[in-house]
Amino acid sequence: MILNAFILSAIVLASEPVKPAIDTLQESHVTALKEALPLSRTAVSATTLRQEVLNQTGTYRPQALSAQMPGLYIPDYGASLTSTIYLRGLGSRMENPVMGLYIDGIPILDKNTYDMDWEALRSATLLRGPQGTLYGRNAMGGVLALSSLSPFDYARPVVSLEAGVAPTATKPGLILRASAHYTTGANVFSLTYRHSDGFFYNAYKETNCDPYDGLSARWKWEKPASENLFLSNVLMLGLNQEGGFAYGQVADGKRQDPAYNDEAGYKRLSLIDGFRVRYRSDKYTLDATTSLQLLSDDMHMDQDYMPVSIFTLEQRQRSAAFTAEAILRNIVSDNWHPSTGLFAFYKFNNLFAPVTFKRDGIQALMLDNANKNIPKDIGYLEIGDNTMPVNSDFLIGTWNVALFHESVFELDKWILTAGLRLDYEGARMDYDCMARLHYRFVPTMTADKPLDVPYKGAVNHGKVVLLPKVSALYEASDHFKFFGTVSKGYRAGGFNTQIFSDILQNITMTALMKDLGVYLDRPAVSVGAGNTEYAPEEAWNFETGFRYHKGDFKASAALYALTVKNQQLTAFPPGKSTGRMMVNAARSRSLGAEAELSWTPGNWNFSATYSFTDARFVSYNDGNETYDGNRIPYVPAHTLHINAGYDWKLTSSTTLKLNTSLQGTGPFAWNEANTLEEPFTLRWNARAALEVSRKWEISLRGENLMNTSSNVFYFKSMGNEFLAAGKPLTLMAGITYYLTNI
Amino acid sequence: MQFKHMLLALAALAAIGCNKNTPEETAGLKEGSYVGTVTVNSTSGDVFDNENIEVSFTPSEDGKTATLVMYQIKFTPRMPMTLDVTIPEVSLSTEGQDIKLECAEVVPLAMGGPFPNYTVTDLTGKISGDELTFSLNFGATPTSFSGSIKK
Repeated sequence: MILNAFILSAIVLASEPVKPAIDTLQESHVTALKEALPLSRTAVSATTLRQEVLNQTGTYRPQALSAQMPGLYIPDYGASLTSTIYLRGLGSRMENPVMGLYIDGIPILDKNTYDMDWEALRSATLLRGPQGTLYGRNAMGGVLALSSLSPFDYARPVVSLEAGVAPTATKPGLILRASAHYTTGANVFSLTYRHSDGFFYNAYKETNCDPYDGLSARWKWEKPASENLFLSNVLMLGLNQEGGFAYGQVADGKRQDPAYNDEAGYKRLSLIDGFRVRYRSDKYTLDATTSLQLLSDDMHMDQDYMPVSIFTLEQRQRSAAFTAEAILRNIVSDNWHPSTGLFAFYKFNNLFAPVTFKRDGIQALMLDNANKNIPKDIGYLEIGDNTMPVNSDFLIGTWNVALFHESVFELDKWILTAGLRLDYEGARMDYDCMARLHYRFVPTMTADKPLDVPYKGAVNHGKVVLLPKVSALYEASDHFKFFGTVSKGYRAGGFNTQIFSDILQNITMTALMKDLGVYLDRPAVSVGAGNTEYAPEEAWNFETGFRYHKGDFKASAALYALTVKNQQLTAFPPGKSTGRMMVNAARSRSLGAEAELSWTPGNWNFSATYSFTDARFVSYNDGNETYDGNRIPYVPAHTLHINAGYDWKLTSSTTLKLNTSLQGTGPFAWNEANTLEEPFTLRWNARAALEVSRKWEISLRGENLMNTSSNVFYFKSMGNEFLAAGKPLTLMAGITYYLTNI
Repeated sequence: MQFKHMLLALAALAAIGCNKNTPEETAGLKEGSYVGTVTVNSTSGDVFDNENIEVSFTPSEDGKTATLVMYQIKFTPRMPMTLDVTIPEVSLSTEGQDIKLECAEVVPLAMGGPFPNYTVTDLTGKISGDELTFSLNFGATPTSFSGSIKK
């Protein structure tokens, strides 16, 4: 009943143990952002959630930011490598993300590592709209900058444990999260372990699809080496093993329980180390950042998602990336703040992605297709293998170099910004594929004949883009600011490795028929490796907004118009195809509005965020149909987050902290034709915590308390439709212990 | 097993059937490819031309026989596919400057093995200069080829 009283939400300003420090160019240490002035004086739409808010709302993973940050939608489905991100009408379910992720100033290059457990974060800041000038590739929808605790935050060491269950799940199991962080000297150590027995039941295997075990650790070291020199290093390690891919087939318009027979899961080991140097003199400040990013992962997927033996996919990556950036900020005058930077990275990825066609798949996808074109009086084709491996080995190198400059001018009440980035990105993919089978043509062949079908080659591309930005901010008063921005961003192009199963399938059948001396009149419908390249996506953003801040009340709003060229979309080739591919839609546009407010009167705290997005194709024909004017799939038309909290001082040493929130997204169009739609849905979350002696905290937390049933994702495989469900009601109980007093 | 034995017997019959005349003059013949038209006179009376069909001519080492391979031919316009058909053991002999081709009966090879439904009978033809012509029956279907050497 008490929780029901608090339907409005809250972003509680961090009171302890960490003083919030979200602005840039801090005196004592380096930060995650590159802006020359504090965000409060920068012409950008930004949302910042601080440590206490992240804890209160159970925001320990990126998906929980959905709607808390207006316009952002990161559906929680699939597995940890999924990280599908939609922001301001931009986004796609695979390949390059539409949002750049920075952790302590380190650009995270691989989307497969976006989804990691957060612990000991000081803040999460989302800059919305293209941030290409300063942040470069993939910062087209925005940039999420995570800032972890610094040793200079002097955070108290803490250990916490949270355990619970999803009681309405078909097979409820244990959900557990344990974390700790510890500061000593110049070091902050943090550790998180998360376990789940899973939420979704595989009706065929009679067990949960999505158990999870993950460990993440971070070591941050920061030290001033001299008066002018500040050094920082952060090392992050992530290790997880999980199931996943709880996709239920759509039958009669309804999602069925997941039911598939083959192995599905994901294992990941990631190691990221970033080293930062800040040198300050009277004339300039130099920030230099380098990072090394290693990833080893392995995904298995029953790609037909049905209890039949059609085909399975493995995707194993071994990647290494090195990034380097230097930004020089000359101290010219009080009114002019120029920043000039140089950025470069190289990433190497060895991707091994074998597809194994099983007996049902060999029959349905290959033999049936071939034999229907062969007159019965001539004979028919048979493949004797029970499994047919199609091995695909890719070596993909990606490199980028960029030079950028941004100048900020302070002219009375105006702050004017102009910047330009010259960005070059190139990539090369070497592919080495092999299909192997034994076939026989009946009646002419009396024994199976082995056939190896190799497919080797290389494709490459390179592209130069210019990313300009101009903005103006008018400080009407100490409390009220208006701003306008025009900026451009881009999302890198790439190669469609996932369509190679289709390519190999068609090449194999063509080679087999050629080996037989049979040539079907109808050419195979497929793309070749040369068609697997997709172009960068580019967007221009026109934005205006205001910011108001007085006392304990804050409000902001923005209107934007985005025009997008070569929008990257996931497409499914027609028919019983097995792959999917990224295609560049000709043109699209996104119009939207975003608003935020927060108010913290006394022990109360309220906050609300809302976004409206109207993202539509301006011109898009997928080769079969025209979708001009239709809504872009997967983009929520509305996001809403309302939060309310109250700190109830029971005694001088005991406080009851109550918090509740509503999180809404939708409606979504699931396909380009807009014939399938998911309605707007609300999820209710709440937390109650009893803090004792400022050392102990005992908490109860519930997610999706109304157990709202919703779908969070849709896709097609082999012409069949599938939906992924949102997480059900989850109840957690936790205990937190601070090892030292304040 | 019965089917296998039948195929082996057909292949043996074919080998015996064609290899009759073995003039020494045909020794040292070179292989070549010819491009031309295959004309199929279907049993319904329709005449169907396959244009730009390649036929390879490969003599044996002793020059007594040759193998003809007809690439990507159709026997009726309604066939949704084309086939490579191999005619083995075609007897060779000389007639003036020409090379005579003959074969009374042989089971051709197609789709990976013997193809008795289209057994070749009454094959006659010649190589005259750069021209190759021959006629034959594929089963009950009279068929002919006329083409020039591929350059």
